[in-house]
Amino acid sequence: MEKMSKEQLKKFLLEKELFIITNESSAKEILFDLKIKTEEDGFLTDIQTGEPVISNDDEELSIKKFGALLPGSRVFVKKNIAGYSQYLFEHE
Amino acid sequence: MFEAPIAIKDPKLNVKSRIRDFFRLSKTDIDNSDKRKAVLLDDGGPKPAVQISAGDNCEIKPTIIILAPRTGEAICGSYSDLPPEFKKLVTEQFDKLPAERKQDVGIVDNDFYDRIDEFNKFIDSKDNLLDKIIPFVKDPDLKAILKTSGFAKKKFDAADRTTGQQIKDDVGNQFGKTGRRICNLYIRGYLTSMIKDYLEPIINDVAMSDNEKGNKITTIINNSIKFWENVYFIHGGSNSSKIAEEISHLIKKEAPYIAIHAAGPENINLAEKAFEQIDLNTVKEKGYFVSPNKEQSNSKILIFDLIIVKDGKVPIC
Repeated sequence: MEKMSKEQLKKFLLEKELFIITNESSAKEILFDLKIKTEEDGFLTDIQTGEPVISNDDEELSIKKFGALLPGSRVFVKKNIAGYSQYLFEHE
Repeated sequence: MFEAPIAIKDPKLNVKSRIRDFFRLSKTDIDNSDKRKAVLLDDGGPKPAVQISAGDNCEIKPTIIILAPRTGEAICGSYSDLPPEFKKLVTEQFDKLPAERKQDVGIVDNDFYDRIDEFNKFIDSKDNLLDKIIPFVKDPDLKAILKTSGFAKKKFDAADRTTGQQIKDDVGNQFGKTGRRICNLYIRGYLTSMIKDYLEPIINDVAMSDNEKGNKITTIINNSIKFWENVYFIHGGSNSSKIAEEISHLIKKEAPYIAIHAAGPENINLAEKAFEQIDLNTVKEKGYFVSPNKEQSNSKILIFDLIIVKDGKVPIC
C-alpha cells in the first residue's frame, strides 16, 4: 500500500468534482468553516445573518437531519431522497 | 494524516465498502463513529487515518471520505488534517457563481450518500416508462415527484417495502399532499396505465411540437391527479357500459370534474360508446358543461378527450 505524498494529496484535492462524505461531528466542523453554526439544540444558524438555515423543503434544518450541501448551490437538502431529486431537477 | 490513498478505478465498485474493507471496519463502525464505538486493528497493517486506540472505551476520530467521482479515487481521514488551502477553497467555492468556480465540492452525510448513490444509479438506468414523459414535463417539482415515485415503485416491486415506504414518506414530506398522491398513484400502477394508454401516443406524435406535448401532458397529469377517481384512460380492456354507468353515478353525486381520455381508433371507439350511453339531459340539468373533443394531428394519431365540468370551469383544489 503506497502512502500518499503531499503532492499526490494536493493533486487529488484539485479534482474538478469532489464529494466530502461526513459523519455528524465532521459535518459540524465543515459547516462551521462555511459560517454555519450548530446551536446547542442542534439547529443550524447562519453566523453572518443570524438567521436559521432553511432546507429546500422550507423548514429549519438541524444537524441530525442534514443530508447534503450539493455542488453548485447553497441549497441544504435534508436526509430525504425526494429533496435530493428536487435539487437535481432544479439544476439540470 | 491523509496517508492512505485508495485508488478505485472501477466505478462499479462501491467506494465506501472498499474503504471499510481496507480499514477492517464494519459498516456500523464507520456509521456510528459519532457514538465512539470501539474498533481495534490488530494486524499491524497500515495505520489508518481513523484514530483508534485499544481499551474498553476506544475512540474514533471524526472521519471523512473524500471521493472524486470522475476518477473513482477516494481518500479517508480527518477533516482537521486537510491542508488549509483546500479548506479555504471549499469555503470560497460555495459563495461563487458556477462560472467562477474552479471546483464543485459537495458535502454529504454518510448514510445519505448511500441513498443518493443508489438513486443516481436508478436515474442513470433510463429503462422505465417515466423517462418517456419526464423530458416533456416543464415543472421541475413534478419531474422530481414522478422520478422519485418511480424509485419507490421499484423498491415495492422488489418486495423491499421498508425502503419503498421510506421513499414514499420522503415524497410526502418534501412535496406535501400532491406529492404523496402522485406517489401512491404511481406505486399502484395507475399512472403507468395513463402513460402507456394515453400519453405515449402523444409523445410519439411527430406533428406535435415539444412545447405542445409538454403543455398537454402537464395539464392531463395535474387534472388527473386532482380527480383521479373520476378520470378514465381507455385501453383495450375498458368496458364502455361500465364506464358510462360510473360516470352517470358521478354526475348524480355532482362530482366537480369527470374526464375520459383515449388515443388510437379502437380506444376512441370504446370511449365514444361510453359517451353515447351518458344521459346528456341529466348532465345539463345538473349544470355541467360537456366538451367532447376529437383531434387528428398531421401524423394521423387520433386523440379523444371528453371533459365534463361543473359550470364550465375546471375546479381548483
